[in-house]
Amino acid sequence: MGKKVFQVTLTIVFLLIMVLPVLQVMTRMLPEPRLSEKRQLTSRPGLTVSSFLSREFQNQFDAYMNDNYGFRSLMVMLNNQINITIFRVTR
Amino acid sequence: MVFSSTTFLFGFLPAFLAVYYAIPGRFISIRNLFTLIVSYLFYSWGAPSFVPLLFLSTVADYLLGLALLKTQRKRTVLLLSLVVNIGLLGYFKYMNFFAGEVSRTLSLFGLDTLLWTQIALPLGISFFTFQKIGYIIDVYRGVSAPQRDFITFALYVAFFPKLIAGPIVRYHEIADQFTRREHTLPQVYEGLTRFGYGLGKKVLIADNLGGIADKVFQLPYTDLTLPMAWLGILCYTFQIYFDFAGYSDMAIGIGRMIGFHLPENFNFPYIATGIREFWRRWHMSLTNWLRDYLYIPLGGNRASKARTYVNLWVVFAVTGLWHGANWTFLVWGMYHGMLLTLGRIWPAFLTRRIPGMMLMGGTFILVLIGWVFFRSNTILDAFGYIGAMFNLGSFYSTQEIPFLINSKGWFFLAMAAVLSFSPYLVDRYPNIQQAIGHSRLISYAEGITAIIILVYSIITLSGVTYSPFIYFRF
Repeated sequence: MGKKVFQVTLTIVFLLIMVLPVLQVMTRMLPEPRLSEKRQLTSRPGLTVSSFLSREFQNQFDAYMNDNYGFRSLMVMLNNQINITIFRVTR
Repeated sequence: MVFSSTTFLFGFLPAFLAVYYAIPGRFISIRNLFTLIVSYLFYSWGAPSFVPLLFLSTVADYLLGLALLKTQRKRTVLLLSLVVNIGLLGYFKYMNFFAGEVSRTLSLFGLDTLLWTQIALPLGISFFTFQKIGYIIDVYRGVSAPQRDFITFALYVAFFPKLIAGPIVRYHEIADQFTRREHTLPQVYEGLTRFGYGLGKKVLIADNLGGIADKVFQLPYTDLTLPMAWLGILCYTFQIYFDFAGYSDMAIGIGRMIGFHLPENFNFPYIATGIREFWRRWHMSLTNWLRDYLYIPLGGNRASKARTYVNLWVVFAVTGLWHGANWTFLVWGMYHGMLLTLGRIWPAFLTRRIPGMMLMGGTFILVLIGWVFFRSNTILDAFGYIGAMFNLGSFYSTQEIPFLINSKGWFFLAMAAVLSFSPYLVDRYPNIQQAIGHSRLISYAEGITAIIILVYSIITLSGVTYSPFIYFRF
């Protein structure tokens, strides 16, 4: 494989890794496993001038992203599996 | 906004790149304007109330820079800028500390303490203030012409990859890149791989080891045994390096994605074989800044020996205090100032016969002891901690260790050590360097490793937010 082809391929892979989670949220194009969590996932906050200036919006939006990005449940399961199988720890 | 947050990784960064590259390349000034707006959004995500401060202090230095061009009283303009910048830094960063210390002294004499409301520290103020001071001095010295375009100047100050934690870019290093920079695929690729490695350094190594260091440093030093104390500071020594170097890699990587070449910040600091060399490899953008704008104006090492030592101590006291308003940072800076002074009076023949690897080990231990001051809350805690590190009576007390570090922690500790020290071999043996540099296979492996690290870092990030059933823990 030529150097250029290699770089183009990897650049696309990199960008896909960053873009897919949001695309998945928008389209739900692929099935995801369901997690049973003992808490309510954060919902999307409403933006107001005062919530932005007090940073409340930013904090809530970060929490919302953490809870809702695409393939999160898959990532959580993989994380647990790697911890148990490779490191033999629970977290 | 934090580079290692999902908001940044999956939202901010891809959206920024998409719009940036949608703007045609011939409109570089529009790309700059867009980057500036995004930089202010980035800043307001973390510190919306300090956006006016960032903006107004940028306007002030922009105008003072132009004034330097027209006035005969250049010195007055320079002084004015220094007063404004150092004044703001002093007020926001050191007044709480100063008021606290004054109150403590007053109460020692039975007097009323000061009425003082704590002020919040504006995000990144130490970084952008130093950059603005550097700009004004560059223009004053005639090293650079003042920037006439406000958008460009504001972007120099607020460019989001380096706004909050550096690298500290000196104006003359980057001035040309605002109007002329290349946007090529290899650069985007290089930026993305660099970003992947940086994220891994932060999320996989620094965060894992940081958890262990926190557990040890939370304990009162009287409870520490020798193995615990060494484990704690060893983890912290690697945490601070991988955390900061990881951030710098991500910053440099993002810059590279849009054609910028930000200066390097770290060059394998833990392979240094002396403290002087350590400072040529550690936080290089700060060291370079202090050399150009403080050490050399003080006279550097051109005057008498005594004067050189004084200059070194001043620079390292500033280095210490720049990190924060606390006696611990000052002592850390003075400790390095002392080591450098000793290094200069130390007869060279005493260390000439010592193998390089041993000098590297010795330097590492000295730096590691310095980090105890940096990490501790008070000077007393730091000395107590160092006491525990050398309390030989508890040499064999290892029963607590398994509670502090598990197999995953050991893995990343070993990884940190290999990544920190192995470059020594590459550095000292040019043959290895050449073989690596020319191997296409290795460059492919580097790219694929970066992807694996990026994916594993994202997987790890999911664990930080996931709250499983309580019974999972038993």
